Amino acid sequence: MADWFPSEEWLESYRRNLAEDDAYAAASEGWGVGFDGDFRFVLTHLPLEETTLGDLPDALTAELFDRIDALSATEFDRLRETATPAFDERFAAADGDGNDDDERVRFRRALSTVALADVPTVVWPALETHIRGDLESLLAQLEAYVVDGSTVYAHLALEDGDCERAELVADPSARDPGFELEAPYETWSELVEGADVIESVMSNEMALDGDVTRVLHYGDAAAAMGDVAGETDARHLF
Amino acid sequence: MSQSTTQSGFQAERIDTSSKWYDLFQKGVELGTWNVEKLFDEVGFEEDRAIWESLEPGERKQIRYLLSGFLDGEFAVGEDASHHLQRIAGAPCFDDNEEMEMYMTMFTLTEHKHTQFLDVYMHEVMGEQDVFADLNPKRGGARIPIVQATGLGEIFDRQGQLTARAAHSRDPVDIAKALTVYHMIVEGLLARGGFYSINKLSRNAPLPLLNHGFKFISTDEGRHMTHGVEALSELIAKERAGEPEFQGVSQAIVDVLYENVPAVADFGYMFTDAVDDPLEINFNDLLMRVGHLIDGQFNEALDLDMDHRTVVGRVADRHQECLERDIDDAVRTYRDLYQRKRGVEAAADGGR
Repeated sequence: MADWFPSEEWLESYRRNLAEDDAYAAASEGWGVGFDGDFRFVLTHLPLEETTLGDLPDALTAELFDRIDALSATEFDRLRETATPAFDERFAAADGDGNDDDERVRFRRALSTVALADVPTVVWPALETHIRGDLESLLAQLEAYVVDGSTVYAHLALEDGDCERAELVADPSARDPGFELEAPYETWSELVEGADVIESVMSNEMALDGDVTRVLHYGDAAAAMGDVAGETDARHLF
Repeated sequence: MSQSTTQSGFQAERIDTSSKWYDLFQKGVELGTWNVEKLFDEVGFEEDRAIWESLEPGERKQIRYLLSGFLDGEFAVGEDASHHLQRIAGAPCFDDNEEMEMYMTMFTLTEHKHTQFLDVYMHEVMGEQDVFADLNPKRGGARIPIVQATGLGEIFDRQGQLTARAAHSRDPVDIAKALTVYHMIVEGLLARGGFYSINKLSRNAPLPLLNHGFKFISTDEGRHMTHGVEALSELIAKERAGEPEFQGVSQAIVDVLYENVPAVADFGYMFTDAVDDPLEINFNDLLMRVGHLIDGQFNEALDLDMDHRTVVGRVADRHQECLERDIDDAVRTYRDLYQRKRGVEAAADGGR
């Protein structure tokens, strides 16, 4: 897994691309030398309440649904019996037209309605064993790194033209980097699609906190950071 | 001609009462005729004088610097409005817009009132030190030392040149340049950045009369900005409609932005750590505020294709020049020069 955005794997790809980018290296020479040049990226308003498992790209969920379809009748019944009450409610509600559909169709339908924000309370251990690969990793990251229901923090260690580390942060209060760039997920998503970071800050779509004068003098480095984000392959989760 | 109805239900024959400039004129009549002397009488100078006396020298210097920029700026826009903008409003490219010409009378009146307020306020509250009334530009002198020292005076000079040229040629592209430097840069970025600074400094230096005056001034300037955006939008619309004499308007506006946006660094330098920032106006906050204004005015209001990176680069270059300049030394040099012109030996503190 490398390119789902946002994810720690995408962040690592971005870090690697940034460290290898000649334009960034040249423009950011001296950045962070004698001052804290680290950045915190803050992605707010992740649409976890609005996005359900069924809304995720098929490439992420197809394997889960295939596994459920492939279960024997006994295995499926066992899975159903251990479901959480929260899932049972959804299962009952999934019989939309009142007809007695195939139970697996209802099961899939019910699973598709689970909002990402509700996954930890709806999903149960027996179902978790069928969630594998990228979906498993991404759901684990959401559980570990989403703060206050819809915000994710990333920390980038930037010094003298290099990006030594880039990681998601579970406890943002544990660090106080020199600079912070905050925006709703949608704005970050546009940046990853190639929007101009300087324009995003000037138009107030992104909030820059820190020594703006320093950023002003490293304007080309800031622009290169945005350009590299746009050049890093990304498949959007939302 | 017009049979339209005003908000009050009045109709007119010669005047188009549905015109946006008629609306600005009427708003100016309602809101722009605040009486400067009456404000002085009602609020009084005493409290401001007492607070002024209680401030630290560095705090006083910062307020003097800021108000000096405003005083010379208001003086410059008042002069150019009187001499050039009225003629520009009557240019053929605005289609004999009688209502715009009506509004310009209100516009000019308010600009001179701003000068009146600042000039009297600085004299009555802050003393004579920085005003140099007998050396004002109208009388063949120069600007206040801090305005000259930061380079801020250059944009007021440029505004004078561009408005004079446009008033003479009445060419749409020349007019676009003149209105851009006047309304979008001097009023739109520098004055609005200044209002933001006045607001911030009032937390540490709550000068009641100054704050009262600036509330009126910023309301007036809001109408001026509306006029500037509407006038430029009209020129851009005609350019986009393919009218030959309007071709080049949009590029001229963007070019004037690039040429003059470094003045933001000149103005903001008064609030950097390099010259101390005792009233905590904060250059970083000011830069962000002005950045948002640039995008709002040029990208959103005028729908122009502005290159944000060019703007940032120009401001950064000028800020670097400011950092390499000894502003206190430059102020002293100008003060000595002015004193010599006036035939007075330079005082130890550079003042009168």
